[in-house]
Amino acid sequence: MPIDLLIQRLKDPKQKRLAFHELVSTYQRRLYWHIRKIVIDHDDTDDILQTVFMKAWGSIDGFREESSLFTWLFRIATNEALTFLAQKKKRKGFFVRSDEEYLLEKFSSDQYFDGDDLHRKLMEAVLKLPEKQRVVFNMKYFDEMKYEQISEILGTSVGALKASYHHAVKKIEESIKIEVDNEIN
Amino acid sequence: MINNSENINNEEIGSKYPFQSPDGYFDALPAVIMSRVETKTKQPKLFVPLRYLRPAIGLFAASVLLIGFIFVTPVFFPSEKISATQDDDVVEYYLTSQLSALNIFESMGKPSEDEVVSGEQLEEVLIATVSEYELIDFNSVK
Repeated sequence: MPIDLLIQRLKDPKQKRLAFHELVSTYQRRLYWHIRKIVIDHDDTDDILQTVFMKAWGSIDGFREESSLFTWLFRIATNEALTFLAQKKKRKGFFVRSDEEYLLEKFSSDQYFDGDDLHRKLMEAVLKLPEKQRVVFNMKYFDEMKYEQISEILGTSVGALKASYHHAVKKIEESIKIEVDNEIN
Repeated sequence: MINNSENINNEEIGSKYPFQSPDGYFDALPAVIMSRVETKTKQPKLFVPLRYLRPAIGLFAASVLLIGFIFVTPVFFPSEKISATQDDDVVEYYLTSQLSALNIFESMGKPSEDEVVSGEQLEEVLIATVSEYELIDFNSVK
């Protein structure tokens, strides 16, 4: 179904439920993988994704179409995922763990990882990045999004995004190089 | 308005990412979401008619007044009443009330260190302020 028609039906009370089912089916995979790359763990991703759709259901009537439906949903998903990580950090109380430690721990115990050794090195390097660089790298490298699209979702200028991505790639290269050198020696 | 006609190729999504999702997860998710949506929509709104609220509001207002009366009026706290009065009023209150002297002194609080004068200090003050001839020899008084 064309997205314009889907939005029209979402705003019609009689067709809203059916149209929302269509929306979930259309966007669930993209949103799932976007959230999963931020929080790593499947169960956490599932909780966040359900919250995202419930928020979308609650506020779809107020969707003013100033951005695309895709951008709007991705913005909700990004905010929810980053808020989740911030709350995880707070809940550690006295012993504050960094996002890096938390995510690396989740990654090392993830039963759904199906990559090879190079993938593992890449993921570990990505998880060591600062939060913003990590999100930008995920969206650019894994999701192959355009900078303009990422800019709309994150509310950051294209120039700043390019700089973030450039720094992220440099850090990942260095991190993998160190790992490989250590293995050789 | 931004064009919303983006195409989504579900086959390519997540293909570069070295993780999997549980089998059948995406087949089941729309039904899970829709059941949550149904539950949320069917939840009755919390609406209490005003006629049921009136007694509760009256009771609440009466409680607030009673608590305010207790804390503002000193009659309920005799010791505070004594502290607020001075000298003769204290004695008068003591004579007309059922309080013991101990209660009254406790309510007046302990004197500060500056207020406590030792016998030696008192003697020094007396010697400095009273001349010799003003002193009365009690032995000579009959």
